[in-house]
Amino acid sequence: MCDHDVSTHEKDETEVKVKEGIDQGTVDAARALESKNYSAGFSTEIEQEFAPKGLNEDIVRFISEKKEEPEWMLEWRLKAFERWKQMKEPDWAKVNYPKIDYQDIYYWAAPKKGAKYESIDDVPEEILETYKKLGIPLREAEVLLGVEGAAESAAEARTDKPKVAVDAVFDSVSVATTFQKELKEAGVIFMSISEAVKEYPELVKKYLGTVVPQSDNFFATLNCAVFSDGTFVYVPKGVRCPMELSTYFRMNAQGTGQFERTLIVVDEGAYVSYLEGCTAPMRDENQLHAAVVELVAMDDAEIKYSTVQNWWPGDENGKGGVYNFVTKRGDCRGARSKISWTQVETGSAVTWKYPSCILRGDDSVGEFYSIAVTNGRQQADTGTKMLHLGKRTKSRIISKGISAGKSDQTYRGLVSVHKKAERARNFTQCDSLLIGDTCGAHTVPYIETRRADAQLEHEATTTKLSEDQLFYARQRGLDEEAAVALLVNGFVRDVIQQLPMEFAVEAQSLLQVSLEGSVG
Amino acid sequence: MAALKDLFPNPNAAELELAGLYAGLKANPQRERNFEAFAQTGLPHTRVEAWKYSDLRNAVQSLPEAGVETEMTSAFVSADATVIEIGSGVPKLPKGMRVASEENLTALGGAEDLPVAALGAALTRAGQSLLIEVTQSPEKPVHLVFDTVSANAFQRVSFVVRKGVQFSVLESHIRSGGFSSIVLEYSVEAGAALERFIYQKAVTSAVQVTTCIIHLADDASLSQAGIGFGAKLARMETQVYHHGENAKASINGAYLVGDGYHLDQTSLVRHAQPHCETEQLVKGAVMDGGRAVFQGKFFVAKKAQKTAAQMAHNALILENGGEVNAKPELEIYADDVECAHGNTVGALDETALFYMRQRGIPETQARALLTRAFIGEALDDMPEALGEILMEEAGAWLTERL
Repeated sequence: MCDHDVSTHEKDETEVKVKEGIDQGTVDAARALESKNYSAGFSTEIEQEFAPKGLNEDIVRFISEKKEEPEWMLEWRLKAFERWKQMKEPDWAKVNYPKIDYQDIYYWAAPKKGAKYESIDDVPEEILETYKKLGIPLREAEVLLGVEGAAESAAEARTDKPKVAVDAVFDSVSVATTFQKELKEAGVIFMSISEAVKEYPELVKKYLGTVVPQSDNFFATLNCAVFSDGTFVYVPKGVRCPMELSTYFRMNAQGTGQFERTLIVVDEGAYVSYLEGCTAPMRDENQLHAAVVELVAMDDAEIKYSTVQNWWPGDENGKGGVYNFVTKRGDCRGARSKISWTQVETGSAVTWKYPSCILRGDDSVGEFYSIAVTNGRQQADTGTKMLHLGKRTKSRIISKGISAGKSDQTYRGLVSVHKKAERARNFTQCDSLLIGDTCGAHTVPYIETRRADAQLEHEATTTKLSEDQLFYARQRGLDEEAAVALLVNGFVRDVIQQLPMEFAVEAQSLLQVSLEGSVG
Repeated sequence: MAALKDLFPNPNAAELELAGLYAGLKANPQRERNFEAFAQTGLPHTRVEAWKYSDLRNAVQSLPEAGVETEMTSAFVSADATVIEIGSGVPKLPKGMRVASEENLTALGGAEDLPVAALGAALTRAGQSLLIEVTQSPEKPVHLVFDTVSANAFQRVSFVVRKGVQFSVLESHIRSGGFSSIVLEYSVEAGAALERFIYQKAVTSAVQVTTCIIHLADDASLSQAGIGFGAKLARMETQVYHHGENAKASINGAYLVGDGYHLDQTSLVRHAQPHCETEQLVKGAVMDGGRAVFQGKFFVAKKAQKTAAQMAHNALILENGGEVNAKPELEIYADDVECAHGNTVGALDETALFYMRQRGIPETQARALLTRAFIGEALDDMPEALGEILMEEAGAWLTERL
């Protein structure tokens, strides 16, 4: 995916005052995330089809029609739209942005030509270029673009590596899903949600909106009305999904919003690991991204959901950038089920995102691992919610925030233990590192419990690196750089370790926080 | 008063009664400003973030009946201190203290963010609002006793603690019913030291809000500790401002909340200058039907480099059905700081309990002892005699209930 060549980027002339003890590598890495180094910031010149700007019932109907959806889906959308009109945009998060004009957005944009191609020669050069620039090798791009026969050859070419099936979403439509055949053999359904609505309506109907209800919040309800595409995954009973599944989101067209919808259902005893990546071109105006992700885990099922979010953060003056207002929620519906969220958040101008777990099943487990880096004028208000409903449910939250530039970052999390959640356990740790004195780091945890036998622990720190630890490491013969690298490595390690191998590599190149040798 | 009534978004009976009380008082600009600040929010409810866990509007639907004289006494009566009763005329003060003004006309700072304190300041009647200057360290601590029985009590006491003075205050907040909003302000000048010890107790029909704002100048210090038992709804709020360099604050507290009680301990510490320290330790236990709220916030401004601030809240839920809501918050804009908070909620340590029972201590007694020791840590820094008074109260409370 997006390859950030941090090592070769030229040093910025404007010197940021760096506190003693903070690794130059960390500073460089944070700076590398500054706008001018955003390598995914190009846009693809391709003929696109748009729905008229603005939002009304007709647009909702238009989207539904374009997707050739059944009647029930349209009605579901319209119901959400009615609801949305009554709702108010939330303002409690610690973020500031100009009011969004919801009538000034294209709710539907798609590459004009058909989405699947016969041979690599038929694929528009522009789209190929896009994937090349994003660092997705041509062979994989071929697969991504659905060139017939490419999947097999790409699979062969990569036999030394674990396979990853990819669904690529370009603005409003899914352009390709790879490895469908192989997955089908295993019984796994992995396709764009618009295909799933047509092919597996019963499954979609059964689960859609059951984790994030239609009226959940302003942005989720908007998504219900206008969601364009996204991914549907169903892993049947007892199946361990044979490969990592991945969706790649790309917002390309100007003035568009992206409203993807992901639904992952993992049946009894099954397992899936799912990766999500996002980029967008550099544009002066703000783009809205309001996605909804719903996860359902039945008895003994496990879902591992990893995100590397690298939407365009806007330039150093805060112009442009993506508003990332996402509702992600997992429902541990079955006993002993487990949902694990891992996120590396480096992009977006404004982030409003709280991947959550509803721990309904007895003995279910929820996890949240997050690294968030903000720089420039970025604002992030992110965290998680762990709702303990079932007996002996456990949750673990590890959040590492690095703030630099003029950015503002808030961890906001809720741990709630309900009356019947016998012997619930939670451990939360949120650490923040500040680089420079023009940024902010905040921690706002909410802890609510009604059980005598619950054990909840929360720790948070905000610091620069410890002088004592540095001294100690240097006493052991490490030079300063290596000592700092070691400590910074330690700072984010808990989270990096949770990422699947491929993503860990990408996360590292995104963070470049001198993590040599310790990942894996 | 039509205009003022209109200020409330959707007035409930209590808010209209409060507007009526306000209309009956002699107008002055300070009063007006405070009341308007209150009216902006009205009685705060769960949708007001700072009152998320304490629904005052619901607790005070109309102004409650007067309390009756009660047997409740402050544990501090046995302390060696000079008693000052607030509300019964101009008090006689010990040497080193004087009443600077019989009606405190200074505006309440940040009134919009403290709607209930603003209400308290707006509705004080003659003799209920004092400005006291402390020029020399009094020989003995002073013991402030606030209104216990009135149907509604609005009192305000402000102290200016002059440079280098050591000032020790015991506060008894006891209510036998009704609704009260008590406002305290301490301005601690350079090098001065304030010790503030608090005792809060009320019946389950009382609604009680106490707001204390403390300003610390260069090298000033605050040492605060106390115990609270809650009320129908009791909120003990403390705001500390580090205005000078090298100021130090420790804000500790213990609580025991039983069936039918609600206690909210909220604090905000603002670090505006470098090299200041804050330490906070709040420990408590709740029984079935009790609700404890801890909200703590440290704010560190960009300028406040080298701030050291530690916050800890540890709670025990002694029985299922007891509820603890905590929100320990950090808002930090300076990079060279050491700030941390910790929060734990859980049950008593089974191993310790087992050990004590092995030694022949009956279970209930063992639980009472362990709980007492647990919350006692928050009172460790108090002068021994005072700490013991509060610990004894805690012990009696636990023995009665466990």
